[in-house]
Amino acid sequence: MANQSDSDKSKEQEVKKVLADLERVGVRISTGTSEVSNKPTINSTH
Amino acid sequence: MGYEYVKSVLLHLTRLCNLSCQHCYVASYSSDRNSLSVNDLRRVNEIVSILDKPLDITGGDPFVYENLESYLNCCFEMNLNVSSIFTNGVLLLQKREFLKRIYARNKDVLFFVSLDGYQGSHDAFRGKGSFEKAIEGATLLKNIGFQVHINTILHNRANAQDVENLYCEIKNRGFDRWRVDTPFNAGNWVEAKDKFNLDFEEAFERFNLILRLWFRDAMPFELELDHVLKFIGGQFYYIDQYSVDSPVCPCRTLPIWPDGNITWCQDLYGEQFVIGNIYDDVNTLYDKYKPYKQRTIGEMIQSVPQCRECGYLNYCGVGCRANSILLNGKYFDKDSELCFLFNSGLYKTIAQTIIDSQNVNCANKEQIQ
Repeated sequence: MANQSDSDKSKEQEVKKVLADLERVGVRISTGTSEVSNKPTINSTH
Repeated sequence: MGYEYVKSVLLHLTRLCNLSCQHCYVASYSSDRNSLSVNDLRRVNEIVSILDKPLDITGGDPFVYENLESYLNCCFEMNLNVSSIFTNGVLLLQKREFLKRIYARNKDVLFFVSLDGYQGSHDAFRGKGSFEKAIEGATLLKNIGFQVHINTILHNRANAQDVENLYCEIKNRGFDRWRVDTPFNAGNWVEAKDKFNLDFEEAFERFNLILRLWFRDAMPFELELDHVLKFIGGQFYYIDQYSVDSPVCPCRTLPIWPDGNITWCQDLYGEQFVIGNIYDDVNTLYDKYKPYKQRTIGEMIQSVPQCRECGYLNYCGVGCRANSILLNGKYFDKDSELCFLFNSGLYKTIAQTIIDSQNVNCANKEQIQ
């Protein structure tokens, strides 16, 4: 992703800031929702 | 062979069901065959045994399948890991003794019961009287001793008050986990969405409402809000994080359909997605399945230029392939739903609700001190 525009770089920074804010309030949080559970509902599994 | 790209087998025993839900994916399934035969199921169990993976059983509704008890007994005698059974819950009250016999054989079978709203809104979606039967059936499972997860698909008849009422039922009846999701563009939903669709912003209002109630009540059960937030095993999981080496499809369920066909994705039924049949050699099936699960995000973005330089790529991972196919008609395309989730900033609203709840907790503790 070497050719990212400033707008795309700021998108990545924005997600990192959200993750950092969560950590700051003391929530022990991991990423990876898809890995931890992927059972279907009657309509969807994603 | 370890068959590492298969985590579980999802068996659609039958397409037959006692309900006709507005969002059911089974309408995508167009074969003449309604159910697997006893001989077919012998072969299915051979496959599950060779793969040595957990077995999840769904339908239609499995409790409509007349040979369910003998099939389950066969699974237990073969020591297969029957991991879960998915049901609309309506027939459970009539099956009390059967359910007790299942529990006597295997206490670890997990039940997923679908509730798409509270009373009227659930019934509008699934049929009159279905809510009471389903919630009482789910409660019976809980009383017998099973773990029970509730699956909810949000739709526009489930208003905020309805969602709160359903939340209270799930909490008060002691169910173990609640998964709340938005519908896939498949089956009956393709036609029904004009009538029942809840837009993404409104869906996230409901997610945040649930989250606020859940924190207020000190997190009374496990929770899954779409793929944005999960609380499982005492741990929070928030969004996904990928690298170019991550597989583009983390979902490793091998679906078997009522005609014995096997597709590479549990959300896709159709000739173009079929990789084989239960009577094919297991290694040959696996060799056809594996490439879909091995393909990396780095390989994928070569064919999806709009994702290549996107700043959200490390968090959406090009998204779900079934969504790309069902929404855009193409395997090699973006997942428009995930694009919207990130570009609209909706993912941040969930984080903000978590942060607000933690700040409230801190303020309360300070007041007490």
